Amino acid sequence: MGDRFSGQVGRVIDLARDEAERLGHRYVGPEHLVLGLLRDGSSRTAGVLRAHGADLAASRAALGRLAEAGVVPGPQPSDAELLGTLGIDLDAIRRGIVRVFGVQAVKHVIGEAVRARRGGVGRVPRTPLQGPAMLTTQATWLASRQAEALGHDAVNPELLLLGVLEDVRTPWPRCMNNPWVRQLLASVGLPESYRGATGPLLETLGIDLKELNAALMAELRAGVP
Amino acid sequence: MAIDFTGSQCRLTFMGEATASSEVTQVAAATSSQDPEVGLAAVAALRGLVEVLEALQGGERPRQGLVLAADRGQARRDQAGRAPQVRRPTLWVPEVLTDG
Repeated sequence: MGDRFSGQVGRVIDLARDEAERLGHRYVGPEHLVLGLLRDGSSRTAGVLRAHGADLAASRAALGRLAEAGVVPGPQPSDAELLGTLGIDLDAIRRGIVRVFGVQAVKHVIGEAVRARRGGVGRVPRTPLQGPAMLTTQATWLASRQAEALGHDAVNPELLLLGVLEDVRTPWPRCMNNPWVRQLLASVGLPESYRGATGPLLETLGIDLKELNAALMAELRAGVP
Repeated sequence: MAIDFTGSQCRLTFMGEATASSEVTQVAAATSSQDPEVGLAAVAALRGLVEVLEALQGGERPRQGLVLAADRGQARRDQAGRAPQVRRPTLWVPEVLTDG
C-alpha cells in the first residue's frame, strides 16, 4: 500500500481482510472494504453508512444472501486447511523457508511465481504463502484519484468509500479479462464475470448510490478546514 | 452416483500446465476430504506452494556450484545468447525436372 493512504485506511483494509476471512472468502473485494469501513466504527464514514441504513450485522447478512444467490462464493476452506488435508503444515513451511532463505528472498520468489507474464499467463495465479487475492486495486486507485482531485494529501476512509462507489460505476479495465486474472478469479472460487459486489450489496441494503455519494461529498466538504 | 468433475477439472487444468488428469485424481483421492472440489482445491494450493519452493531451491543451486536452469526466463536468455542457427536456403527445383 502506498504512502498516500492514511493509517486509518490501512486499518480498514486489515479489517476488510479479517471480514473476508470470517466469511470464508479467499479474496478481498470492494464489498469487504465496505464491511471494513463499518467495522471501524469510529470513522465518520461508518456514521454516514449507518445513517443510510447499513450497519455491520445487516451488511454481513446481506453478503451472506448474495453468497446464497451465487453473486459471491460461499464459505471456502482456507489454504492452510486445504493443505492440512494433504498432511502439510503451511505455517511450519512458511517459518522454515523464511528462516533458511530470508524474508526478502521469499517475497521476491512469491512475486515472480505469481507475476503475470506475456499473454497474461503466470506460472500460478496465487500461492498459499501470500495473503488473500486483493481485488480492490481499482477502488483504491479511484480513491487516490479522488484525493488528488479534492486536494487531500492522503486517502482517508471517506475517500476510500468514494473510490468504492466510483468502482461500482466504472467498468474494470480490459486487462482484468486476461487469462491471468481469469486464473486468479477461478482459484478463489469467483466467476469470470466478477467485477466486485458492492453494487448488489448496497442494493440489497436498499441504499441509493447517488444519495450515499452526495452525503459523502458533503461530509468531505464539512471536514475541510 | 456419477461425480461431475468437469468444472473443477477445467479450472485446475486452466490454473497450471498440463498435469495429467490421472495424477490429479490420485492426489485428490489422497486427501481426507470426500468432496472433489475440496480435494482439487487442495491440489491447486499445493501447486502454488511447490512453485515457490522449487524457485527458492533453484535459486540456491548456483551458490552450491550446481547449474540448474530452474528459472525459465534465464533459460530463454541463455538460449538467446547462442550463435543463431543458419537457415538453409530454399532449394528451388527447375520446372523442367518436375514436369517429368
